Amino acid sequence: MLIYLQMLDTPEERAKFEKLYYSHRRTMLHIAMKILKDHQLAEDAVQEAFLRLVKNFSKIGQVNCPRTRLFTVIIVRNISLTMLAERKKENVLERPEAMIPIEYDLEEDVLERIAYEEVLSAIRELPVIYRDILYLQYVEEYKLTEISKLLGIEAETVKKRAQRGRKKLLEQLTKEHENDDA
Amino acid sequence: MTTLKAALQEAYFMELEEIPSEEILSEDEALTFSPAFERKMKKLIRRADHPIRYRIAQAAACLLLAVLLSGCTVLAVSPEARAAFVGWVRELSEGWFVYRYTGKDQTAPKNIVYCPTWVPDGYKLITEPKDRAHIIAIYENPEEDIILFNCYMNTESMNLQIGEDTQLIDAYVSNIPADLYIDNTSGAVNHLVWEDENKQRIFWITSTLDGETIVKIAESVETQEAPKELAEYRPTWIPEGYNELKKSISDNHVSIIYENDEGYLLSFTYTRNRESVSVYSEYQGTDVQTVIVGDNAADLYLDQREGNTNTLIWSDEEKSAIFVISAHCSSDELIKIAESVEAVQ
Repeated sequence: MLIYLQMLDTPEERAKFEKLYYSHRRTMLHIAMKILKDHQLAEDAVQEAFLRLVKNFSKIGQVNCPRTRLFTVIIVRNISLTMLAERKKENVLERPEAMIPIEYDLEEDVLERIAYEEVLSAIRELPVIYRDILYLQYVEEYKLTEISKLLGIEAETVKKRAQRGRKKLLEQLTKEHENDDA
Repeated sequence: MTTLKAALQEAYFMELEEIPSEEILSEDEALTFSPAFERKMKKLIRRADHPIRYRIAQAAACLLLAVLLSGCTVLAVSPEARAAFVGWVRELSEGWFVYRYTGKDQTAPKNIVYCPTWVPDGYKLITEPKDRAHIIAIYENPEEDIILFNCYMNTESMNLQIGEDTQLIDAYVSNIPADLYIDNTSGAVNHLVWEDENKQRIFWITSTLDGETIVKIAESVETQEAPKELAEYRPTWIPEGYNELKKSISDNHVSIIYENDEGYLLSFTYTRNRESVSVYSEYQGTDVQTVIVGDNAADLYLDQREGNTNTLIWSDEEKSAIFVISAHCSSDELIKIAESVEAVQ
């Protein structure tokens, strides 16, 4: 972290970071409070999130844009969920599943055959820990190692969540489609 | 754009719209931050827009004064009178005060600096005075209030900008006449300007402190032996593929950051004149070992997670500095970097 704090060296960077803080801090506290239900812990999550943002400062574009706001939401949400899991000393994030193949392809042609609204609906129902990874991977086009650094989780964990996310999404979509056919 | 990407994007923007705006959330009392949190974030942000610091910095960068003294008028029309006068003269010019030096250039004694020997409790020296024509010392307290001390010699003129509510008061610094500028605006900076007994040097203190305290600081100014120029240190070996990305140098703190093609950073920093430095470790699973760097014991922090940063910290009494190296590399490489640190020109 020492390295990254030093990166905010110019007045412009510090001003941008300050603006980022004041523009989104309450949104982040709001998200953290919803998950952690504890003000002190939520503040810790927000602080950790801002440290994470310093670490990935080059990824921040315009401060007051939906993309940046979304960025802050995703980061603080993942941090809060991790803190919650550690508090409960159980893996509330993921349940043990059968062995997942190393590569699991989400067939684009499957998606193309399913109505867009169904895909949208299935995504909205996907657990956030998977959905956030898929968003960062497919929309922001980050590599798994970049997502790992951004969210502060192991690269292997990112890979597994991405795979599980795609699997769950596909299962949901094909099940709905089969129900529709039936 | 693929279906998945488009749907993900829309899903997230729908979610964003469901989150109340920052303005609405600011009205929720449950979303008020604690004072402790605000203090922590303030330190993280390291605000560069502290108004008092800015005003003092502005005063240091550009001085403007405006009042013509009768003496100055005489000097302006009488070359003979001007030639006979030696010392600093105050003039007024379009809302600025200008102190002009009249007389021959003097030879400044080597290795001597002027410096206050008393400042109020809580203030610490953050910029040491150096043996130059313009000597500057800066003090700061925990509330980030600063005291700026300047000493000029062989300078043609210096300018001082003052606020509209500034009052010019005649004062004395150890029986030497001085100009005390008091700005009655809340939180404004005040200035004290005076010359030495020999009328060669001009001194200037700027601070938010009251006039009496500033005069007390001024009366404590004494000559001191100039601190020796401090050597700068650099690692002479770093792992292959790293190139210098960023450098930050101040009197007591040097920071150099290198980056390789994979985006990994390597940080080399050292701090002087500090009793301690703080190192933040975000991972509780960091191992700490004691290793040897040259003749010094060092703490090696190993983060066992893949892709994370290891840190080596040691204090070198001979160099009077605390060194910190952080990088994504092995402990052997960190030690090799550390042992390659040498003084550079």
